[in-house]
Formats: sequence, C-alpha cells, structure tokens
Amino acid sequence: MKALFWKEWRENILWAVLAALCVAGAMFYGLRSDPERSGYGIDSTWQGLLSPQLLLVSTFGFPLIGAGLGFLQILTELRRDQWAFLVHRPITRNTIFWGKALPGLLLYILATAVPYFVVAWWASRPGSLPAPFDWRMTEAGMMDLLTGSGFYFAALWTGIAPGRWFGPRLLPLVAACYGAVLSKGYQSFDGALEIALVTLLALIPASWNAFQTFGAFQRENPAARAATVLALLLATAMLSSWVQAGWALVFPRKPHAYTQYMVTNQGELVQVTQLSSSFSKVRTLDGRDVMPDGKRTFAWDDFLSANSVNLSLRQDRYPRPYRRIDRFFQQIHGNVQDVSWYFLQKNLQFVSYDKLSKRLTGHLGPKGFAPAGEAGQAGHFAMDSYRLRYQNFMGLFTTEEALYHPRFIRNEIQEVYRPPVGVPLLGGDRIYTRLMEWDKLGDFVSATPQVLQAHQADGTVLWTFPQPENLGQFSSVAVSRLADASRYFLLYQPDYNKLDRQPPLFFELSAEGSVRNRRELPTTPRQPRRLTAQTIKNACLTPFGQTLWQQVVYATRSALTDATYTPVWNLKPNVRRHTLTVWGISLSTGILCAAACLPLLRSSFFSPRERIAWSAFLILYGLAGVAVFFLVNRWPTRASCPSCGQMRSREFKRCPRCQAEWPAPARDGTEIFEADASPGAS
Amino acid sequence: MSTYVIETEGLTRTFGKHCAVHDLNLRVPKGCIFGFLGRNGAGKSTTIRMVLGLVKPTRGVARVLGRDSSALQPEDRARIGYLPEGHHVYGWMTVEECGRFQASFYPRWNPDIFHAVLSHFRLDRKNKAGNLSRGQRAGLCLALVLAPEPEVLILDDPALGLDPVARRSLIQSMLYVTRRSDRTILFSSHLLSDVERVADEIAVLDRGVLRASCRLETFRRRVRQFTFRYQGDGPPLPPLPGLLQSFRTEGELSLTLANLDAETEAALRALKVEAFEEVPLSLEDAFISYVGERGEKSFFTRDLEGAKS
Repeated sequence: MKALFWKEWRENILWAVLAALCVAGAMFYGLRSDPERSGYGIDSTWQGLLSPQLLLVSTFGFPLIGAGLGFLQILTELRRDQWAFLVHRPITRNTIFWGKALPGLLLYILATAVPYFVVAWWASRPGSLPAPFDWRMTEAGMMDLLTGSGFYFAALWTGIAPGRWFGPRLLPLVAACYGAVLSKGYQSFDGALEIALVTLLALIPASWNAFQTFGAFQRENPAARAATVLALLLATAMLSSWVQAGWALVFPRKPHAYTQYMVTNQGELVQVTQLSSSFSKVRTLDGRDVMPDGKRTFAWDDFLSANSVNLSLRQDRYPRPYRRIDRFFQQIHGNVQDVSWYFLQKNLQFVSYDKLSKRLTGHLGPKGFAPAGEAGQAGHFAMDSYRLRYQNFMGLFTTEEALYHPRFIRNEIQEVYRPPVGVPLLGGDRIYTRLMEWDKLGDFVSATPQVLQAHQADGTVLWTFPQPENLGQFSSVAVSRLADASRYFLLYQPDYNKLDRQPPLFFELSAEGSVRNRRELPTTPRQPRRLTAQTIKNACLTPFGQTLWQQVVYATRSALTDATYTPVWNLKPNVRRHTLTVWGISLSTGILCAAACLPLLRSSFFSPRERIAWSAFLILYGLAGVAVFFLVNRWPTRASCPSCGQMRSREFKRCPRCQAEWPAPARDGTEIFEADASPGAS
Repeated sequence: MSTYVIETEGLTRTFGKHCAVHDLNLRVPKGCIFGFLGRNGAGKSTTIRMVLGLVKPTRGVARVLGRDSSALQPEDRARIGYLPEGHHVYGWMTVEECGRFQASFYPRWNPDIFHAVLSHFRLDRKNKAGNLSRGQRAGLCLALVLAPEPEVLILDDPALGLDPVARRSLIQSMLYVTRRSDRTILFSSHLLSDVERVADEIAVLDRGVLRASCRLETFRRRVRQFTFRYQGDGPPLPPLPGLLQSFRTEGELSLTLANLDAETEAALRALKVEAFEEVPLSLEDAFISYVGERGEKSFFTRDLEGAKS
C-alpha cells in the first residue's frame, strides 16, 4: 500500500499543484476589486466566498478536478498490459483500490481545498473585502468539495468499467452530477449534506466494486451491488430530469395564470389575471371586461401601487439557502458612494465598510451610529427570522418594537413609530405613490393587532382603522391611495395557499379614515388540482419506492424533531385522495415493469432469491428500475444452438433445451498432438 | 497435486460474436519450457490473461498451480511471474526505484537476482526507466519478474519489438538465467525461431483453436514437404488428408503435409511424375507452413505474359 501510495502521489502531484494554482488564480481573479464595476448588481465581490464568480469556480472547477484526477489515475495505466502488470502483483484488489483512492483524495484536497481555504483565510482578514465575513460562508465551498469528490470516485469507476464511452460507462459521472445538482438545490446545509453523503455512499462502494470485478456487476458482494444499483438509480433520475427538461423545451407548457385584486388609478377595484407577467384579463367585480383607454393592454402604471404590511405574528424559522449571501447579511440598495452598508443578521444591526480601505467603519442600530468596534453602542434590533425574511430594506425598517427610517448617507436612523407598551407591532410600510422620493420619509402605515394607522412623516396620525375581527385569517394588508389622497384602499389577503378558500376583504376609506365601502371578495381560483396527462406522466415516471422513502423520511423527521412535515396521512381528505391516486398509478407502473421483465427473470441467469429481489426492486422503481436492471446485469452473448437451432447463451456448456454441448473445433487432419498415435510415415 | 502446472479445460473466450479462444485444452507439465506459438491475433495473450485470472473466460476453466485462475490469491500470484508484452515500466522511476517499488510487494524478493540481471543487461541503476532502449527495458522487466523467484514464469512475447540480434540475445540470456529444474516457463511468441533452441514442448494456436501441442521433435517430424517434377500440365492432385499447402509452378509441384500416413504416401507415389523428392524443412519453415495460409496456390509465367498482352 505504501509503495502504491508513493507511486500515485509522485505520478500526479504535478497535476494537482497545477490545478491548485488554477483554482487559486481563478478565485483571486473573481474577487479582485474593480472600481469600474462598482455598484449594486454589477460588482458582486462583496459577497466574498458566496459571490457568483467563486461559486462558479467551485461548482464546476472542483468536479472537473475530481473527475480529471480519477481519469488520470486510471486511464494512463489502463493500457491492457500495464494494467495486467499492476493487478498481477501479489496484493488484493482492495489494496490496489485504496492505494489509488487515498493518494487521489489527498491530491484532490491539495488541488481544491487548500486553495479554497487560502482564499477563505484571505477573505476573512480585515481589509481584504469591503464586506463582513462569516466562516459559515465556507459551507457552500465545502459542499462543492464533497460533491467534487463524488466525481473523483465516479471517474475511477467510469475509467475502469468496460463499455462504450457514450453509453453506460458514463453513468457514474451522471450519478455524481445528480448528487451535486440536488445538494446545490437544497435549502439547508444539513439537507444538502445528507444528499451529498448518500451519493458518496453509493459511489465509493460502487467504484470499489468496479475494482474488484473489473467493472462487472458480480454476484458476490451484496453491499457493493446495492451501492451500484443506488448509484445507477441516481443516474437514471438525472437522465430522466434531462429528458423532461428537453421535452419542456421542445413542447413548452402553457404559462401559469395568476389572478389577484388591484385598484385602478381611477379607484375602481378589478380582478386582474396575469399570464406570463402580462395582464391577460381585467374584470370588474360584476364580471365586465375592462379595456384601458387608448391602449391595447393594461400596464402596471394603470394601477395604484400598493404596499404589503405584515399582519402575522408567526414565529416560524425560515432558514435561507446555504449558498446565498442573504443568510448572513444583505447589502442595502442605493449605497452611498464610498461606503457600503449591510444588514448583518448575526448582530441584527447595519454595518458600513469603506470601499477604499475595505475596512469596517461603523455600526447603525436602534440607538444610532457607532464607530467600528463599538457595536454595543449602536444597539441591536429586535427581530425574528420571519420578519427578517419579509423585511423590505427599501421601505421602512420594521422590528418587533418600532418602525425605523434609516438614512445611511448621514449615518442616522430615526424611530418613526412605536406602539404603546405591551402592544406588538405587526408591520408597517410607506404608502407608495408614483412620484415618491425614496430618501424622504413620506406618509406610512403601521399595523398592530388592534388597529391599522396611517401617519404623516412627522408622526401625525392621518386616520385609525380598527382591524377586522377575523384578522388571524389574513397574512397581509395592501394599502394604496389615490394620487390626490382623497381615498384609501385596504385589501386584506390570506396566505397564498388559502387563496381559493379564504375570501379577501376590501375596504375603501375616505381621507379621514371613515369606511365608504366594505366588501368580502370572491376567492380567486388556483390551478385546478386534478388528474391531467401531465400528472399521470409524472406519476408514471416517479418511482413508487422514492415516494415511499420520502414518506418514511418525513414521518421519521416529524417524530424526531419539532419541524412541520406533511406525510400523506396528515393531509386533508381531497389532497390525500389525489396523492393516493398518484401513488396508485406509480405502483401500477412498477407492477407492469416487473411483469414485463418476468420472462428474463425466469431465465437461468437468476437464482430464486435474485428473482424475488429484482421483482421487488422493479415494483418499487418502475421505469428507472427497468433501466438499472438492464444496465447492471451482464447479459451474455447468445448464439443459435447448432443442435436445436434455438438461441442460447455462450456461457453455458450445455444447451438448456436440448442439453447438447457446443461442438469442439472441427479437425481437418493437420492437428499434431503428442498423445495421438504416431503416423507410420517413412 | 497434478503434474501439470497450467491446465485449461474447454477454455473459451468470445468478444461479441468473435471467438478469440475456442475450446482450448492445454497442459503445461512442471519443470518444462513451453513455447506458446501462433500468429498475431491467434489468441495467445487472451489465453495467458485467462490463465492469470485477468480476463474472465466465457466458458471453461483454467488452473495454475492447481488453483482456479478466477480465485488466485495474492500468495498464489507471488509464485507466478508474469512479463506482459510491451515491457511497461514507470518511466519517471530510476532503474533502482523500479526495483524498490516492485520489491515492496513480494515477500521473497531476491536482490542478488535483480542486480545480476541488471548487470547482465548492463543497466545503469541511476538511469530513468523512460530513457532505456527497448532491449534494456525488456531486461529491466525481466529482472523485476525474476527477482521474486517465481515457480511459474509466464512471458507474453518477451522479445516483441526487438531487432533479431537483440531478440535472440534476450531469449537466450533470459532462459540462461531463468532455467531451473523446478521452474516452469510458458512463453508466447509468433516466431518459432525464438523458441526452437530452448523449448521442450510447444503448442500452436491458430485463430483461437489449438492445432498442435507436442514436443518440438514431434512437430518437426510430422510436418513434411515434397517436390514433384513433371512435363506439361502435371498430374491432377487427388484429395490428400493432412495437406497444408500446395504450390504449383511450371513443371514443379510442392506439397506440405502434416501427419503423413502410409495411405497418403502411397497416393503421392501414385502420381505420374518424373521426379519425386522430400525437401528437408527447418523448424521455422515447418511452422510457417503450418500456420500460414492453407490451400492450393500456383504461379505460371504464362499468366504474367497473358496479363502483359
């Protein structure tokens, strides 16, 4: 093992160092500060380790390096005699595998993790980037390192597996790709870690098995075979996604229609249906279609701008995606010239960085501005994660205690409203108008469980409106007003998933706040939940085993944690009926697949135990299972039996039908064997 | 234990529809130098790989040192030396490093043998293996294979790619240093001249089928060539069992036959010809006739003239 380790290390160290230099170079280049590119949305270097450039390097670079190292270790030695020279040595295949994989992994770490953490260390030092730094920002890179190592093992497997390059030989790489895509799409780091580990747990034993059997799926190691099957299932899932994505490209779906209530500039309440972000239908409440004056279609500026004031007292935790910077801090739009402002979630306060020196210059909290290092002096805002999720940094800053108006250009913050002691503040926002000046505080609204109030900038109350009795059924209220401020409109709206059940509530108020009109509006339709061709297709393609597994995971998590998951037996009857129908289709597809493969299963390649195992697998994994079934089993070449004419496997000595053996090579009298009687030639 | 160190029974290997080795029954006795002959693509290397358990046979079994090839353990492999064709070495290692690397795998590594072979081939130990000539690389590979003192030595065309002088020199020196009464050597080649001086027994593989397996002398005795001289068009050739080749020119007919028996000889004598003589064949000529293209051939100058006009 030591000698093999040394050999692999010596052979590939130069490549690893070269890759490390490339990674470090690309990352430092991505993080270079370019004054020409400064400005929000253009220069993203402030995002540091989570900037798109760095994520691009780690997302694509690490898998490429992993796969490259794996191929280098195998393909350079795979010329048949050199490989034979290697494996004929008196060592086990296990030793050969780990003799390659361990130095390979170390080289992979050298080529990827070392430069990544050097860059992370550099970014963490004050004066490197004009933005805060949190070591948890490395989680995205660590995930890329982990999924990249999956590509390394996939390349070992692909390299050694017999077969054609454009065929099943590439499937291990596809499986690694699926693991990487899935873990990147996951919101929480823990969930992504689970996916990455499952992929690795499939790919490591499968590539190990490929070394033991030279790429053949053999029957002696059940654990490795299970890993191979799992890896190939991941690969087929990825292929299926690609096929579906391709299908959607060729036959795009009809765009989703979305219906909501809006108020026109003339103060008329209408029901607006949007299709692909354009207004396809605008109707009055009595069902009359409305057309805009002198225009073909409506535009956003035909309607009053409405804010959205939170009304919920929910305390749910909303973990932000682990690969997004707003999990740690958010850049404030409209930053001042030489200073960048951020809202730092860890400290619950604003912080400023000088763009030139790239150092922290101050903190802004409820108590005002404090110079760098005096975070306590500025104070911390009282906020829960739900409120933070829906915080609108462009409007007023809403906390649990008060509404604030920060003025970053002057390093100031103004408390504009604080409810009476003991009354929680639900939310608040500006009242938007077309010609609003963003830097100046205009009229705004505040919401408590008892009242909704409109205020002027100096704090004078314009009107007070008592909240409806069924306030708990609404999640937000949209407040808008006519340009001359003669009328106000309040639209109480339920959660998105209750839109088809809970009717919204509409009030029209005078300038003094008296109710001129109150209406309970009809519910807006959601997409019909019924069995369409699309649903049936999805049900056929989704393996029953996968659905079952998800339910088991949900149920286990529900039992172990206080998080809310929704196993099917907790769903409402109509949803449960729909879900169970989808499951039925999925299960029927599995049974049909197993039945279709039955003739093959009954052939002599499979032992009775294997027949049962494969049948169960095919029922659980349906069409994907059929693909894996054909991929992993080594189907022997067949030829017609010289005796009975039926096709038979070349691997068996006797024909299963007529019991005849394969004929020996024909002799033509020129054969010379020592055992033969010596001819009497003279 | 069987007196045969290597045995195969019905060994068959197909690649798709192509049958590389067909129903091979081979036996290599202990202590013998066994020449495994055949043209390029005859199936020699595939057979050797199946014997070593590196390639799974389509059907049939192979046994080495009494153990099924598919179940060879590391300790079995330590008793089997294998020199694959191509003489692959890690080019970035020095000759000395190659030795150290190989020694780490073998419990019974004999450095004296390694250094003796290096000296025999005049190899500088500090030279990079990648800088060695083909002949020197073959010598280094041989040293790496011999130093663990294997009981069975399997050499897959060890002199491939060498010039005739280096070829002969390598074969002779190789057998000089490897010959031991208890050591069995199987080596493949596509030229009989490589093996005729040293082999005790040979096997000839032709398009995947074993055509001969015998002592060298038997092979030489059984392949014979005759020349017949005649006037005019010559006698028609009757069907002859064991006919390998016939070559007809103006006034002359040359026949190469295997396993000539009394009946065939009588049929030959019955041909109405002016002269009839047996041509002595070297072992190499016999081998080339044996594995060469079979059937009747002719060459007449009148055909050339006809073609010109």
